[in-house]
Amino acid sequence: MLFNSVEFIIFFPIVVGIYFLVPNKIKKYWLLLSSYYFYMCWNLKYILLILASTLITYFSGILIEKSVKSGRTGWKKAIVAISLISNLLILAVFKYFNFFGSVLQAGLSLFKFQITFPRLDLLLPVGISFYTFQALSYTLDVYRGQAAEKNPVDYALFVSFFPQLVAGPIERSSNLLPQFKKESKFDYDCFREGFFLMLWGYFLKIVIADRIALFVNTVYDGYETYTGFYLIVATLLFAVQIYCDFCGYSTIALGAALILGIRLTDNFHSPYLSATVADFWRRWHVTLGSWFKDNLYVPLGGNRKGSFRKMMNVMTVFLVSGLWHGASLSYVIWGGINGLYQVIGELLSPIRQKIRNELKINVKKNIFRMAKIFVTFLLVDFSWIFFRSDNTGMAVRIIKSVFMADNFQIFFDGSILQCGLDGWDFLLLSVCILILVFSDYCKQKNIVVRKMIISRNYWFRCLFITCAVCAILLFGKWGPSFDNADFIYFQF
Amino acid sequence: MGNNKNKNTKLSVQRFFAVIFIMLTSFAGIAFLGRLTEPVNNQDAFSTIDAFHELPDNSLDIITFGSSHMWKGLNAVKMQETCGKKVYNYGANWQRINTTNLFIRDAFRTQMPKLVIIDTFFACEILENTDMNGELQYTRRITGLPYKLRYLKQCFGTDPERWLSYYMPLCAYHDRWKQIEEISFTRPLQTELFRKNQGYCRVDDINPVEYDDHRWKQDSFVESSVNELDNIVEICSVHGAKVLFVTIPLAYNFAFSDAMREFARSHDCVYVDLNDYRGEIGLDPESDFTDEDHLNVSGAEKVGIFLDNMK
Repeated sequence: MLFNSVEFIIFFPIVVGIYFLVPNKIKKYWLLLSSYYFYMCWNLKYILLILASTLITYFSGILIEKSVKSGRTGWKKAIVAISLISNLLILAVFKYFNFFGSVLQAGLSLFKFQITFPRLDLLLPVGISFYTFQALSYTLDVYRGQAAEKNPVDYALFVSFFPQLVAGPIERSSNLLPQFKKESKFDYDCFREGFFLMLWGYFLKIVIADRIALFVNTVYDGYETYTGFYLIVATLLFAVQIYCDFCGYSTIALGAALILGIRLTDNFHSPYLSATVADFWRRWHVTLGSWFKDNLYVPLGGNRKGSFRKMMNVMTVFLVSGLWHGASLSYVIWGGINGLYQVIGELLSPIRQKIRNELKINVKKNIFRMAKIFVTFLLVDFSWIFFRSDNTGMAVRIIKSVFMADNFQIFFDGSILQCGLDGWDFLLLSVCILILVFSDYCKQKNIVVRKMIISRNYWFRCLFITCAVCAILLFGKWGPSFDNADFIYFQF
Repeated sequence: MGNNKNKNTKLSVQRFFAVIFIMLTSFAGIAFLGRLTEPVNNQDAFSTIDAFHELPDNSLDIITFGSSHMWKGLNAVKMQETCGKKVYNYGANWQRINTTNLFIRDAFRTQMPKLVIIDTFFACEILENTDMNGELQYTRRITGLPYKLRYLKQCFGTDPERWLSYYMPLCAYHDRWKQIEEISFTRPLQTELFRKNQGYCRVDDINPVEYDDHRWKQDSFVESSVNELDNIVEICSVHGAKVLFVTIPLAYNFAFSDAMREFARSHDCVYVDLNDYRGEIGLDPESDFTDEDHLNVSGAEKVGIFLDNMK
């Protein structure tokens, strides 16, 4: 069930209500049951996959710890390898089989070998990339010396906790497991903060992201008709859409977990206010970045083996990250572009410094920082073209159309208002984006807007919440006549 | 320590009431916004339903049902003057046959008519598996009828969002925030007018039409339509009312008249396709129609007189 569905609005209060009514001993069983029910609403059969992943990594953790205690380091490596291979095999079969098959087929045909690989007609299990990585991170953490979790219920809940099950954040066991062991009582402050987070998440998702989706889908689906400036506007808006969609989901997840007394990791730290692409990736999908850093970048050598090796490692991480996002060449290219930005940025750093010195540019001035933020946004947005396009060919044609844009008149003759959004929608979006920028700016300055609201008087808070709920319901894109847009990251 | 406990209790009570207050104000806000964003083009349907509900019990002899074809096509006041019986035109826009069934059952709650006249234009169509629309919107005015649950299940199935949109208009209409205007606040009803007109929706426009007497390929009813018609005949029989099915005159022929004749014959009730009697009714295509589907006030008067003479 989607977070922005009636089923979830009914499901969640029931889960919370019963959670705080049952004795402490029963709470985690109730949460586990609710989490499995949540997942089974997507597809009943695929609960077996999450159970398989849970069992494999749970027993791996215990066996790794036993092998360490008995001094069998060889066994330890073998167990980690089995855990990694079996989990990645499940992921590979369900997500990458057809992609690898078509790549192999294309590669062999270059050498005149015509082989047709079989295609599997499997529905991609929702959230498989997320919970697989979360379970694997546990295995690797135990391998590195963390204590293994003995309680199977706690561990199963760690893998399947419903707020973050299908689209993250990808939590570390050291953050989540201790929280499941603590006695949980209803905390009004957590409830209030969690509620504010959920409100903000719904605002981002159903008011901004789903509204923008109407325009972006119209233009991108008809990109051969909607050329030039249509595509420029759609690409700019897609940057906002994907941010609000993913951040909205994560924020709802954070809020829902907080209401239950569990603190998850904030996945976004005002990414579009980054001054460099490297900084962007430290602020966007923080938990995935952290996973790749700890489990791929650092084991490959990180930045400890010289500049060239560092750049190769960065490229490897981003190519794999692209592949993680989707079984398609366009995702790999998207990842590669972002890796390339950082490599080129690093290579050109001395030249940029020299230019700044020659031109006597004061890097501390706001105008300089704003220019860097703008350039970073454009670079990241350019890469989103590959992310959004159905395939590489489409992305290339869109880029060509963008750079040859000559239909500026669409802004004056009303054509831009015929693509799913009218004047009122654009006006509303402008206001919403200003609110978003303000919120992100405050977050950057460590000003927590919801704490500012909470500190105001009782009547202000009540009025604010009522107006926020009504505004989200009035301006949001939801309801039976609206085709609910899935959260974009659900497909991963 | 005692003071602290008192403070905590006071704080808990304050917080509890804060949550209740916010819930109540939010529900009030949602209800208000729902009313504001609801479409305004069903005020006439609301008016006719309200006017019907205000009638004294057991005060009607003849009630007519159907979509806008009946609603605009039969002048109940004229028919009443001619036949001396109390007549009410309980039609409304788009009334599919299962909505007609709902209206008939609503009518039998307070009235015991001897004759029920049903227009057949939508006898072939069931409102089912649909999102909230104008027809469902005006059925919200019919409350407290147990049959309505069956009707809504037929329309909405098990989709919770559709059910929510029925009881919470904001769910269905929030996208209409751009169309809020002065009339959205005032929503004037014309209950008095519809009471005076005995439910009849008067249209004064004259738009000449051309008769298209090409005989359409006759179609047959689907099973669900037949079931609804069966149900209607049964409920009328239980309440001692005779049923007369009619097709109100159109500028073209009705594609289900053969199917209707067959149904009426097999159910021992009467069906009259008034398209076959345009001449006898005295309809003039130059002056009695407002469009190809609907009669104006002049045409509706003639139909009312003709039906009385037919009995």
